[in-house]
Amino acid sequence: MTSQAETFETFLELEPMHKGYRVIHPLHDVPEVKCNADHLGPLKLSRGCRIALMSVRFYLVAIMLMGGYRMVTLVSALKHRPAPPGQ
Amino acid sequence: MDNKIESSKNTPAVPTGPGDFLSRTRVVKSDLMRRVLTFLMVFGPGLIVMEADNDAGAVSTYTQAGAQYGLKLLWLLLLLLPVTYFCQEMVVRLGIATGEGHAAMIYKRFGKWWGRFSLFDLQLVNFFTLVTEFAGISLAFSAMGVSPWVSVPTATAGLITMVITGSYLRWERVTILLCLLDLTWLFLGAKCGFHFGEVAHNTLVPSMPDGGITFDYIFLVIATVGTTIAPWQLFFQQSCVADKKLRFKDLNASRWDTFIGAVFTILVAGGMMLVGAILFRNKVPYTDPAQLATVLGPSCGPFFKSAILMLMVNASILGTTAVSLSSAWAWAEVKGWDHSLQLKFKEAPGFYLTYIGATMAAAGVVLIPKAPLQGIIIGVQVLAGVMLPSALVFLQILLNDKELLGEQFVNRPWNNRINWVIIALMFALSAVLAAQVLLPGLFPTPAA
Repeated sequence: MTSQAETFETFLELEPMHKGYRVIHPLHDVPEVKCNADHLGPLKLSRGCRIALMSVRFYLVAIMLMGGYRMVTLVSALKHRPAPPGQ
Repeated sequence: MDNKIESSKNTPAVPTGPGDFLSRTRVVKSDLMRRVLTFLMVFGPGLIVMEADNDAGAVSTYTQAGAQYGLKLLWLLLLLLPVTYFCQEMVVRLGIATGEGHAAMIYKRFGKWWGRFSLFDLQLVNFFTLVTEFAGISLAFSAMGVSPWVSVPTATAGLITMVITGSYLRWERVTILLCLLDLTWLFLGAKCGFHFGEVAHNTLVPSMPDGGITFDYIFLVIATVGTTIAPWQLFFQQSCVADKKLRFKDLNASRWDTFIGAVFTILVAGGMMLVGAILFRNKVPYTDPAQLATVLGPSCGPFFKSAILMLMVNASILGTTAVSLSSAWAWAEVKGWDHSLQLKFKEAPGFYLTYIGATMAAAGVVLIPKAPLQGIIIGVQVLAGVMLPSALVFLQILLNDKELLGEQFVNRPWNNRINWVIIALMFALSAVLAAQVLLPGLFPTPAA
């Protein structure tokens, strides 16, 4: 992988009296060819990766169930709150 | 995904005058100057992502850690320095290698289901984080006698103006300036009167608090870890690196940027802990940063009080701009909209409207009378704690994608070993945090 932009930051002889390095800001440099995922499609996952992702999925589901349980508990607590005296 | 930005914004590189210093091109005579100048041009995303994480929630957590345990948690910050660096270094590599944001990469390499899942998580946790940032602005200005109905809309207008100017560099410079203002925390920390030897000892040698290890202590340790590393940082820095169009040859400079940012952030966090530790030394109970400022005012002087309040506002502003941008970048990447701070509003309306919408919606929630802000703050901790390890797993898998990155950018075996240790640690900590918040009676708490 080579950068087209590298050619711009080599030692330049711009004029006979003006030698030096030209440093270019990334925003204004020539765009380089990046690693492109468009033609690759979804990742081919190894067994280890699949296990890791499934673990994440189960972990998130478990946490959400805990959240749901907590909410149900709170709602139940509100529903069964003793009525104020006189009602 | 479109590449319109890449093609339309390509400007020919020509040497220009001194007015363009650090912005376009520059001719220098020595190789050393070339390296220095290249670094300065690359510098920015690393410092911003790290320091923006010292947001309103972080000010609250670090000062509380100091107020409750004095200097006893300083060692944790030192431990978190390599952890935060290693996590962010991976997104730098991924961003430079692909030139695309994190959300786009997850969508492309893991498919739509995981892509939507990650995007939903990010937007949800970011929105609630933004609410806490505006709550910080409201709290700090209220302590200065300014109504939230003035402070919150003014801050919102400022935050929107900061971003929609159509210049990445303008936004970056303003944000770096705000980051540097946080150095005031070091000045305040130095004025707290702690001996340097005592601070150095507590930083280098882990020690237990006087009351032993209680759940409160563990909870604060977890909160400190959760505050120092947040999911939005992964998305933000990769998108920022892509927006700045960093090149392959900028990788080392960008790593230094990230490392300097990590050191800077940890030092500032240490300053916050020292300021909080004044309360611990004087045995004064801690409520929140505004109360800390009010309590320290009479003994440390009006400058101390004003500085803490203004620094809290600064932290909130930094957090808001970074978190909103991570939301806007991620959303626009997935939608295929143009998304660059280099573009004018009319050239990337979807991107800017997402930023504006996220900012205004969060500000609106804070202005709702009796909004459950405390519940939202706790919810943010849980959501961030739940999401971070998952986000790290995606990142770790992406960084082992040789098909996409080739040998040049993939993780080395030692990278993988370190990262899996970090991920395992984060999973354990987030599970404890989430369990404690969701099921408060699960763990015994010490008797008062």
